Amino acid sequence: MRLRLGVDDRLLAIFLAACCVVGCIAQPGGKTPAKPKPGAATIEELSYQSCQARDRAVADALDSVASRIDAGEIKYDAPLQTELSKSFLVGDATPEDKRLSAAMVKVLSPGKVFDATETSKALRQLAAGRRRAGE
Amino acid sequence: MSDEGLGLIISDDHEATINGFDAVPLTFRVKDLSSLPAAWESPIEVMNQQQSNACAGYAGAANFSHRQYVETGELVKYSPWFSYITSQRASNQFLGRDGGTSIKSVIDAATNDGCCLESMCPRPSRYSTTLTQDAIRDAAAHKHIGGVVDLRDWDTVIDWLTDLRSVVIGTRWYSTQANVHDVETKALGSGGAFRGYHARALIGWATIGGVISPRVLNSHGGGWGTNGRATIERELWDWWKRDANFFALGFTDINERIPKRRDWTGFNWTGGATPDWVRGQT
Repeated sequence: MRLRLGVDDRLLAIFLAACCVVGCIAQPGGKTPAKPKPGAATIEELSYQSCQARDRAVADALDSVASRIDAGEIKYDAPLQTELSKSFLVGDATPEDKRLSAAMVKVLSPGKVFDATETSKALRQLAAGRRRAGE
Repeated sequence: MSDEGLGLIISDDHEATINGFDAVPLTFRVKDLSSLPAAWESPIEVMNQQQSNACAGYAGAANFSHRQYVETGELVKYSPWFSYITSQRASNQFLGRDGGTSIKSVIDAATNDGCCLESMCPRPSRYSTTLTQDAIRDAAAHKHIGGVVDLRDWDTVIDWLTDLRSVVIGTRWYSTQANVHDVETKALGSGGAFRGYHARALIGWATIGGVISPRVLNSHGGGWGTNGRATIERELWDWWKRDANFFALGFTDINERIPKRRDWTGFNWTGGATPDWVRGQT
């Protein structure tokens, strides 16, 4: 028995065949893109974390100075100025700050040829992290 | 007679006195020395006892000035002569002649009589026991010692000093110590002729070969050491420790003079200002 196909059926078959061809051609060839390592943060994220950690460290240091004033250990302006200045510097030495530094060194290492694209991209990420922390 | 004045008397009960002072509690040791600056010392003025035997008075007064600077940030000159004469009175020894004094007497005098400003009781041209009523009144309002601790152990004295506290030491003094420039080595601290015992103040620290070591202020004028100061090598300290008459004492309190208020105009409230603590350190 001969199967009779209508016009609509033929068009549908052609369409499906075309989809199959297009689908095969569109398959990605070669390697799949590398997934980011778990835990590896972008410079923007490291910048954000560094700012947060800096603020936390400075806040802790200021609390500590206030406690020492309450305890009568700091009684005069000169040692207070020194202690406050030291408190503000504490924020420059957090583990988050070191991780950010390590990430930045990969881009701005003195041994590397200056790469304008990479450098400006890293600085923009750095700025974006700080901006986010300041929101 | 030495070229420089000394004058530290080792009394018969010296050893018992030194051993009678409290040890520093073990819980005091909480600091991470690696985070400290390589050197720090208070910028108090070096003085000169000349040929007098008032070294213990000078060491005591330097200690009070050091403590005042740390507490208030102000340089105040306390009177070594007042400390010397009141300590002679406290012990009733040698009062009436320039025969020196013991460290216990200096502590007793600083505890009971206090210490006045240098301007109220400068060193007289000739030995004199006269103290004015103004000086006595001023001193009584500024008593300097609430407690005393024994700091002969090297690690303990370093902890004490890096906590910006004050120390008086009493050591043997040899003729070669006049040749100290910046580091007081064992060779210089134990060579030549033995001259007697000498009291000095420790006012900070410096680093020798990676080792944080005490910075001493002498009372032989700015020509000794580096502007009257030197860094004590550990080997010399360990050698001193073998001497029963050696002492290193920490003082725990001060009735400081109220300093002037600081101007806060321009203070950077978000960081950037470099404190004295950090400035000039390498």
